[in-house]
Amino acid sequence: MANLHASIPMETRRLSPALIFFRDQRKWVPYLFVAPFFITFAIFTLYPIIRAIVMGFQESVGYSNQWEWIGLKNYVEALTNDRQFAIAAKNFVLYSLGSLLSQIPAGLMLAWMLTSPSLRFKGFFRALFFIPSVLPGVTVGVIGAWFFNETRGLANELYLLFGGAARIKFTLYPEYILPMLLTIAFWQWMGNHAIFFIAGMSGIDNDVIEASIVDGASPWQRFRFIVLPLILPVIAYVSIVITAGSLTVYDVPIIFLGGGGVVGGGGAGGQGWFFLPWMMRMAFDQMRMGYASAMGWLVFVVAIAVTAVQLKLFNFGEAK
Amino acid sequence: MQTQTSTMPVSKIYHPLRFRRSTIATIILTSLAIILAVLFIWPFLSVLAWTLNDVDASMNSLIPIPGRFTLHVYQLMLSRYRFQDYLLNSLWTSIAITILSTFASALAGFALAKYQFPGRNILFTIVLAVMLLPLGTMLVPSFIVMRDLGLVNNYWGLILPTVGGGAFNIFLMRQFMLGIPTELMEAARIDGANEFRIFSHIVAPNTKAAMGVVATLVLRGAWNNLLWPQIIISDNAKQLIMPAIARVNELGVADPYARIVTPAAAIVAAIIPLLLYSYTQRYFVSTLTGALKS
Repeated sequence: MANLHASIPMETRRLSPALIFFRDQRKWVPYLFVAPFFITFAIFTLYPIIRAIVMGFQESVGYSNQWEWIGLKNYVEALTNDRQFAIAAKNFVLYSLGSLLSQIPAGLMLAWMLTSPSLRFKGFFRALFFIPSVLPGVTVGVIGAWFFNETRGLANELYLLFGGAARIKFTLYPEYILPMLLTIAFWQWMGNHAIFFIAGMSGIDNDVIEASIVDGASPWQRFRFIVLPLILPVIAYVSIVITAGSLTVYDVPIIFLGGGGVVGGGGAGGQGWFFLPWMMRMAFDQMRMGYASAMGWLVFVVAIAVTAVQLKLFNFGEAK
Repeated sequence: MQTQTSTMPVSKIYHPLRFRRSTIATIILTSLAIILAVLFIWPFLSVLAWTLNDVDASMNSLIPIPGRFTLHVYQLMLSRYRFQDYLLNSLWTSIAITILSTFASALAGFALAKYQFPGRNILFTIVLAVMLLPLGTMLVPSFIVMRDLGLVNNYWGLILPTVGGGAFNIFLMRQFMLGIPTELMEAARIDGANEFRIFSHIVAPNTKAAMGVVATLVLRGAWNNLLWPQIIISDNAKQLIMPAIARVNELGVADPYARIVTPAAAIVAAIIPLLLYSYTQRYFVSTLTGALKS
């Protein structure tokens, strides 16, 4: 670089700095190349986020663009006096815990199975178990609704096959909503996680395994002390994705709880609300844009906090 | 170099928990995998069979074979519910989004990978931070901004926010572009090529695979999107496929056909992501995990 500058003739050096800047394409072209992202980011992401801070303290007058200041009312209402928001918060906690505890162990076991030297047709199985995660959320919701359908669903057929007395209309029971959604999420994501775990395992050194076999380590010990530490970053990534995803579930519950004529959008007993469906209901059904923005901010902050805590937890685990 | 280890075929890797390779183990494990796989696709097959079943014919969900085969449901889907319109709307907006977004993220990824310029590290940090932001929670204020800009019920409202490329795609592109030899660019510069020519003649041809992966991801994301088009497009005739399915699904009891047309449409809507996946399957997993590891 130094040589390059030395070779610039004296006349050029006397030119104005701006002209020199524009003469050398390498100086301004990178800014031009990143401009589309940062311009659209500023208009369509950053500005709405800042706008949301203001809107959280306001309420729109109907569908119009007139806003009145109402102070902290939105936040107070969301945190103390909104049954559906509380249900959504509870559902987020249970849904993310349920997903973590079911999908990560199952994903690990599937990854183990799909990397075993004894398994034939590995490529085929890997491709197959990955498929549900590329399907549209809408399709997954429809398949889930069909699975738990009273007259046509597989769940009921299996229930009858294994000695059930009569068909159950699962969607009528508030206590079944989360288990059903967790089953659907399990089907949708398990294969996806397994593929990530397989990629994490691929970095493991053969010699280490050989040595451990010679030393008489059991398969469990090999898993616990060799494989697990190596794929811990992948587990961290997957669990962050699961938790963040649980905060913004939308497609599957909207389809799953939206059909079948259960009135209210929140499923049986209104127990099926999640953050996004409830925010959308408030914003576009009740025209309470300010209130929805305030809820959006609360969830936004929770999401960042949860991600930060998880990053910290897993870093701590690695340091040990 | 991280990315290279992960693209290595996984089948060649020594299995960490390996037990003695024997025929019995192979038979047991493979049959277990087959059973799991069958359980995995059965719900899908069951739904598919119901959509091909005559409405009056009986059928057992456990056996996914239509009692009396008919395409009547799919005909209804097109004639009565006009799903071909929604599919077309989705198709052209998704393709527009894919082209613009892939191009923009390639340019930005190139700049962040291959140029030294003041502020580069800050800009890259912003891209990384944006990847972690839970932007799904900010859709209501985004809608307000779109309304103020007059982009509601307008396809530009779907397309414009994506023309910047997206943080994750830029990150993926950057990881790929790091691998392009700088000497190649220098040689081109000495031959008198300007920076745009370097992008179009050296960088773009060398990163076709990366662009393919990003394009696949963008296309799938745009096609599968339910919430944003639901918010932005209010005119029914202009609607995209996913919100249209959600609307027909909600007709529920009031409309006797809606119940069976919904799964048919949901299956048709899944064809595009499935095709994309089957074409790019190999790339896909190794690319994603490569980026993840680095």
